[in-house]
Amino acid sequence: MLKKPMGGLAGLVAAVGIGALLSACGSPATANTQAAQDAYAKYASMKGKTREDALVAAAKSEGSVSLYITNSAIKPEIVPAFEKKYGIKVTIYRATTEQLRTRILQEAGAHRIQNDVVETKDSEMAILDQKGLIAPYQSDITAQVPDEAKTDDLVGAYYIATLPIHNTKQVQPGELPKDIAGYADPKWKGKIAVDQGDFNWYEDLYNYYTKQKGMSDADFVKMMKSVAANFRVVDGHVANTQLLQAGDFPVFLSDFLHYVPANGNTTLSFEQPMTPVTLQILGANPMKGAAHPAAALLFCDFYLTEAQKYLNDAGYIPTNPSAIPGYTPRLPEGTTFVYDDWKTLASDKGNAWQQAWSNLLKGQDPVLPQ
Amino acid sequence: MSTTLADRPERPAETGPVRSQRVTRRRAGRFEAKHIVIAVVVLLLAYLVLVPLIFLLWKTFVADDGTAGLSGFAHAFPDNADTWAMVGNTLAFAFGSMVVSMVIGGGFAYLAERTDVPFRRLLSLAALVPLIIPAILYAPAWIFLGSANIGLMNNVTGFLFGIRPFDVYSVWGMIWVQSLHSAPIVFLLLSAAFRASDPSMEEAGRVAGLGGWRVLTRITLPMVKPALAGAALIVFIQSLEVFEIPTFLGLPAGHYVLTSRLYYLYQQYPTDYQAVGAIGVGLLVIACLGVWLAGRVGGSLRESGTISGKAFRPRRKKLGRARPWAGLLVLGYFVLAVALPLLILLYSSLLKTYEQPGIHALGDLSLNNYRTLFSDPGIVGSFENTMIVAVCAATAAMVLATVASWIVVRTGGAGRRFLDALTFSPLVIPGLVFGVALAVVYLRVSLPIYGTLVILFIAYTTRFLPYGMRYASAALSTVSRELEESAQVAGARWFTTMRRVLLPLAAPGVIGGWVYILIVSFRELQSSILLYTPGKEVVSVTIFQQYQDGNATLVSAIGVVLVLLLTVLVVVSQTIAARRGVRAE
Repeated sequence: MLKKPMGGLAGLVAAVGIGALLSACGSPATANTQAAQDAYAKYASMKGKTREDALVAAAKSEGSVSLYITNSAIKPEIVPAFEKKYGIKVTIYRATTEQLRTRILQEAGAHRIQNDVVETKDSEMAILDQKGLIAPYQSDITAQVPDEAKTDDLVGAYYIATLPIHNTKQVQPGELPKDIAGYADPKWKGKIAVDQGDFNWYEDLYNYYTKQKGMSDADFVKMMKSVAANFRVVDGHVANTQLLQAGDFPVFLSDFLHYVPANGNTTLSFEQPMTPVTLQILGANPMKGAAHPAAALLFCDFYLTEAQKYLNDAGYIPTNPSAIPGYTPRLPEGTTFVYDDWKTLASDKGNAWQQAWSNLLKGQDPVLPQ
Repeated sequence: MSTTLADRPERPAETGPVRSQRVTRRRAGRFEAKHIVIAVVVLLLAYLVLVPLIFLLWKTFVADDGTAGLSGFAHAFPDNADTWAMVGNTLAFAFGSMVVSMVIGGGFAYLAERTDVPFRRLLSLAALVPLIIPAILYAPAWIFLGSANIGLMNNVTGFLFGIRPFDVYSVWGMIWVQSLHSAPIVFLLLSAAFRASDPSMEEAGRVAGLGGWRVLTRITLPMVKPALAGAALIVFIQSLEVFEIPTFLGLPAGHYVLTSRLYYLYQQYPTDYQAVGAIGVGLLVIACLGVWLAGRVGGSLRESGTISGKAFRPRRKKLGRARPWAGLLVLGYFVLAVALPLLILLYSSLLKTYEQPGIHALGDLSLNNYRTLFSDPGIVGSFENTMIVAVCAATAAMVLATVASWIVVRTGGAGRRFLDALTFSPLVIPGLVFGVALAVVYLRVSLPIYGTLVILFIAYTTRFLPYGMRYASAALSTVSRELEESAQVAGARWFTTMRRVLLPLAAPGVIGGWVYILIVSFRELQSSILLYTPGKEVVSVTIFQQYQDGNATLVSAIGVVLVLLLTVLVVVSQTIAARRGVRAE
């Protein structure tokens, strides 16, 4: 099997590979394709049907679009609808937000941007923007999206709501506390799950109680420590929502709204949501170095309009409900929302909040960033 | 019948190497294919392993601003009680899992190969199925079985005796599940070694009046020491690295281990590669120590393989009155390790969403998940892609590992220990670092590697090389050096000796390694998720995505199909190998 010529080849490949490795000390490279910039500038001023027609014509000549995404509804529902409507082939890379960021940063570092669109959450989009990798999304459609769904780097297409979800066979209606302080009761010991990665939720609670309700840091710390004594620490929302459904524990405090199916055929419920419900903003952006800029814009437009229905069906909260005929919100009128502090999370302070949350879960100090 | 071990004291210990040197000298000056093959394999191995290894070391000791230092270690292991508790938990878990899996895997390997225990075929299945069941489902399956609240086993004991004794959310639960998961590699490595070693030595011991325990500890186990050491090393390192079991079973009970720390670091931005790397380097030190120890243990047998020129026929020990009990043990293990998790998998694959077993669930059973699976071109395609990559990677890794093992086991060069440790290191490089290292290199190489299946082939070949090495070196070290020397004295070239003498004798171990790598290739996710090509997903990525979409029962169906597919594949490959083996004899 092993023939002589392979020796030379292996040496060559080794030299190339190791040489590349040694020279690849991550100097932050910004992938920038002038053609994409020109295309974005050209379409930015176009509106309505004119914009769509121009984008469709250009996207068809581009032929395809490559998406890097985290959302689970895109592949089964949104992409087939997009492909059917426009006849443009879509390829998808899907991973967790951290993996998505790692891949994009590696590709950008090698000046080999592979995707046209990135779809992720607010704080991650801020990181990609800091690296100069995404193009500002400009379209007349953004006027339909409320300001609170827009960040400096993203026009949100939907929210992920974090709130307690319970198993209806184990918790009776009216039994759930209206706020987090109610979970300090020892009867909840070991029965309220929180995910070890949800430090953004913890920071949201801090911002709500201290900045909106005027609670002191000391009182907040005291309240959270007494609640944390009852926590059941878990890892992974999807897997643990299944265990919640199977009855392994009764309440998942920091679970996601979209895990409760919209058809109601389940033992899971989010009724009587605790105050506040926290929201992460997620959406799609075209890449600065996109090889298919028109198709990228066309997908971003689609994501904020026709895809809103699919996002809503999948249990997410759409940011542009005007695109959904007969839309009814899942959460009751008057629910108090707190938005993720994406600016802090995308900065060095994000790691400080992660450490604080980790300390709280392990019963150690300090439980607030120092 | 005399044996090699029995022969050993009668000849000077240095006879082997001296004779070998003589043979080598006799051939010195003659051009040999051996040297080219060795050079090419060493070069390839060095290239494959050094790329991620240099990346690991570079990222660990050099900060992004170019300054060198040890700050990664301070970040990864801050000097506080928390770190010590984590290290303690990790070592207790890893050591416990190693002991239990060695007892389970080794015990059953001995029963299967050396005794007339009934239901032997079930043990081969028990060695495969826990490996094939997707990792993401294995721990949850045990929660459905052993949780204090909803566990099926507790439901049964509660119904029968009014007690609920099992609690999978505990250190013991973690050790049990991890041991069931690790026992197969112990079983596979040791049964190959038992099969290859001569039982007449045990008979001689018995004839000489040794009791069963002394025969086991003085003769049987020393004969398979290289395999024992290799297996212990692998399961120990695996337990240090495993993600799913500590996070599912340890975390809710407050047990944090090394991988909890890795997960914590993965979440940070910017990714603290220095700290992630420091954990990898810590594991590397443990692994090197382990390889050194395993080498010392194996070294005592290096000069005297147990397969000698004299014919032996594997003879099984009669268990006598213990036979039914041993059979019961095998059945019990089969039920726990295979039947129960597989039944849970099969049951949940027939549901839309998981619900506790009962009459009410019967009405919800359907084959919808299987219809979806076979009609979705993406899922079917991911099976095809994985099959291509896994077969190629398993073959490449075993070819490289067999030659490298030959160098380690047979040559006297100073570099062989280094080669042994080098080829073991991919096992301890954290998946994220591994994936990023390959991306960094191949994004800058203009060959069509990044963005194709080739990068996964390279990733799997490298990552699973350590398994190949353990299998191949355990198999080769049981073959006596004198067989090769006889062939060489008779004028056979190195190639012929390898092909006609060594490989047929080491074949059970080499094929065992190939099968193992094939199976674990279907599971690899940590680097696959960073490196896969959109539109060319592999099974582990499909499983991850479907699971994230909340389609856990579809994942169960994929798991069932995987178990069937890989079992058939393994049986076919073993049958073909067995036929060739017969011809070779």
